[in-house]
Amino acid sequence: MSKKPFVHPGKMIEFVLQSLFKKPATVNYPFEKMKMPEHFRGKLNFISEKCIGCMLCVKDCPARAIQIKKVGDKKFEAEIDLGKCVYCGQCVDSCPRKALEITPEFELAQIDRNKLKIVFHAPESTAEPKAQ
Amino acid sequence: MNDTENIKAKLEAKFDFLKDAVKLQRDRRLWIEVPYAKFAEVFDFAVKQLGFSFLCTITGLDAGADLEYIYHLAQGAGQMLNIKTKAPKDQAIKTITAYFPSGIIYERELVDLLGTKMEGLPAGIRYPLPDDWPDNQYPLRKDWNADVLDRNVGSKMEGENINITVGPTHLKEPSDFSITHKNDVTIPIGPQHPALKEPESFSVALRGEKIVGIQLRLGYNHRGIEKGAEQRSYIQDVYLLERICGICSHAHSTAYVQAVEEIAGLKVPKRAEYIRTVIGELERVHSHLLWLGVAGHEIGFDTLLMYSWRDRESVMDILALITGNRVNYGMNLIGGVRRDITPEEIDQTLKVIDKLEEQTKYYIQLALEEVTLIQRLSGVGTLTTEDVLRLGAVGPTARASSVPRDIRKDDPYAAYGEIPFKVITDDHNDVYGRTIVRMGELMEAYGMVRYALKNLPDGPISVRAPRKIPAGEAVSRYEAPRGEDIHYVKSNGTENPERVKVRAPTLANTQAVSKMLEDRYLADLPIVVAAIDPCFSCTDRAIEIINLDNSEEKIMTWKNLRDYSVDWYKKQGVDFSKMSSRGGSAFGGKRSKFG
Ligand code: SF4
Ligand code: SF4
Repeated sequence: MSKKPFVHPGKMIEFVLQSLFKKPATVNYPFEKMKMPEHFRGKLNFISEKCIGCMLCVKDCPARAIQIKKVGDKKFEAEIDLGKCVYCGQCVDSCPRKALEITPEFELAQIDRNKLKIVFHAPESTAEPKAQ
Repeated sequence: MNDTENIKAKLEAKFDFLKDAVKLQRDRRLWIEVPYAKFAEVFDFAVKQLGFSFLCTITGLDAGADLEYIYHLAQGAGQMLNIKTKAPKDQAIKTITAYFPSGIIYERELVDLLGTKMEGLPAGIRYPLPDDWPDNQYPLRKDWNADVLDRNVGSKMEGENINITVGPTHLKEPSDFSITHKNDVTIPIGPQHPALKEPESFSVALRGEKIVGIQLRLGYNHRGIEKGAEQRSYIQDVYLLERICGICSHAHSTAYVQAVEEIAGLKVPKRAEYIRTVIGELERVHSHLLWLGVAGHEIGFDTLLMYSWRDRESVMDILALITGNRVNYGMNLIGGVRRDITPEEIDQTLKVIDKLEEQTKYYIQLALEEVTLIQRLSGVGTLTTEDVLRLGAVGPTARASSVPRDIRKDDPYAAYGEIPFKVITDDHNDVYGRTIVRMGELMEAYGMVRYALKNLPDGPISVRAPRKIPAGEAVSRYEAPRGEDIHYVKSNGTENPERVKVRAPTLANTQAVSKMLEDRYLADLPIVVAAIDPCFSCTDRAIEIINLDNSEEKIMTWKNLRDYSVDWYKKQGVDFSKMSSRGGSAFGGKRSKFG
C-alpha cells in the first residue's frame, strides 16, 4: 500500500445507479417463498412403525427435546418439543432404524408455548401427528 | 532436533525436577507440571528466557481438595507450553498480570467461577457473573449444581444455608477506575442500550469530548456453557459448543472436535479435513463481509452495508447448500464431518466464489480510493505493534499492527498445512488497516476454497469415534474470523468430559479495545468498538457531582446545570441566558470547574 492512492470521492455512485435497473435482492416473503436447500434441517418427523425403542435419540439429543414412550407391545410414540429442539439432526443420525427424519418445514412459530410440543402417536391411535 | 524438542531440552537443563517430566504430547505441544512453590520461577523462565510472550488463557479445574491451574503460553512460531500447577482451595495464588496485562480477565474468571483467591488482583468490575451473585457459590466447582438457582427470580438463591445477598457485592474497595476518574464525567453505555447489538456495558470517563478512561463490563451473555458441557456427552457437546456463537459456529465446533480427536488418538480422513477447511474459509468470508457492512454502518456509510450484506447472502446460500443451514452448520462430528460435498455443490461454490472475488476487488478499490472511508478510518483506534504484543490482541486486530499472528500458519490444523495462502498484515495500526487486512483475507479465502475444492482428496469423510473417550487432555487452537479460538478438553474415561474450557477471540481483544480508545474522541467509540453506537440523549439527565473539598455529594439536575453554566459564562463576560434550554451546546465542557 505504499503507492499513494488516487483519491476518489463518491466512488460508489456509479455502482449505486447501476443497481436501479437490477431486480431486487430480496424476496417478498411471505407471499413469495424461497426453496429450502436440500439438506435443510427443519421440523422432525417420527415414523412409529420403524422405532424399536432403543432410546439412542433421547440419549444423544443435545437439547433434551425428544422423548420416546412405550405405549404397547413394540409400540412407541415420540414427543418432540420444537421449542427446545435446535435442529441439529443428531437424533436422525443416531437412530439405527431411520425412524426419525428431517423435513424442510420451518414455519414453526406459535403464540402458545404448549403448542410447540408435538406428539407422534403410534399407528393405532392416529397416524397423523397431532398438536397436544 | 526441532524447536519443540529444543524447548524441552532447555527446560530440563534449567530445572532438575523437570528432568524427563516434560511431556511432549505432539509437535508444538509441551506440558509440564510444577509444584506451586516453584511456579513463579518456571513461569518467569518460560516468559523471559524461552520467549513465551503470549498468554492464551488460564484454565482452572476443581481437583477435589485442590484447584488446578493450567497456564497456556504460546510463542510466535506456534509452540505452546502448558504449565500445570495446583494449590489447596483456601490458598491464595499470585496474579501474573505483571507479565501479561491481558491475564486480568482470565484471573477474574477463576475468582468468580472457581473461587480462586487471587493475590494482587486489582479491584475492579467482576467477570463474568452478575453483580447480585451470592458469595461462596462457585459454579465450576464439581459439587456445585445449578439446582440451587431459582429460575423464576433470576439468580436469587433459595434453600438452607444459602445466603441471599442482592446488590453489588464484588467491589469491596473502590476500583482504580473510580479513583482516577472521580473528576471526569462518566457516562454509562449499556448493558441495554438502543445502540448496542449485544448486551455489554461501558463506563466511559470523558473530559470534554475526549475519552480519558474506559471500563468494560462483560458477562451479560454468559450462559454457563462450560458447566453445561460437563453435564453432556461428547456428542451432545459438539452441538452445544457450536452454539457459543452464530457467526463463528464452525470455529467452535471444529476447535472442540479437534481436541477430542487428539485425546482419543483418532486419525481424521483427509477428505474430512479439507471439507472442514472449506467450511471454515466460507465462514470467514461471510464473517468478514458482515464486518465490512457493520463498519460501513457505524461510520454512516450505509450504502456499503447494503451492498456488502447483499453479497454476503450468496456465501450464506452456499453454506446452506453444502451444510443444510445458514448458521450452526452442524457439519462436524467427532472423527470427521457429517456430510460430503457433491460435484454439483463444488461447481456452484466455485461460481459464487468467482463472483464474490470480482465484487471484493471492487470493495478493495473502494477502500483505497474513497476519500470519506480513508479519512474516517485512518488514525482511529490506533494500536501499536508493542501494544498488540503487550496486551495479547489476536486476529485481524493484531495483523493490522504488523504482527503476523495466525494459527493457520503457526500451528496448522485441518488442511491448512497443505493449502497455499499468505498471512495478510498491514502497518497502518488503525481501523483502516484492519479493513485492509480483512479485505486481503477475503481474497486469500477465495483462493483457499478454490484450491481445496479442486484438490479434494477421495476417501471416507469420517472414522468411528468411541462414545467413551480415554482419559487425557488436549488444547486445540483455531484461527476464527476474529482471531484465535482455544478449546481445552479434559476427559476422564467416561462419556462426558471432565472439563471443557473455551477462550473466544474477543475476550483476548478486550484489553486492546480500552487501549485503542484512550485519548480518542467519543465519536470514535462506535467504529472502534464497531458494535456500539452511543447515544448521549438517552443517558441520564442527572449528573452526580462529587465536591472534592468536603466530599459532599449533590445531584445536579439539567436545570441546575444550565443555571450554573449560565452563571459561569456571565462571570466570563458571555451571556447565554437568552438561549433556549434545549440548546445543549451552550454548556462548557470543563467539568472539573464544577467542584
Ligand atoms: S434435531 Fe437435535 S435438538 Fe432436535 S430433537 Fe433431534 S437431536 Fe434433539
Ligand atoms: S433412536 Fe430411533 S429406534 Fe431408537 S428410540 Fe429413537 S426413534 Fe426409536
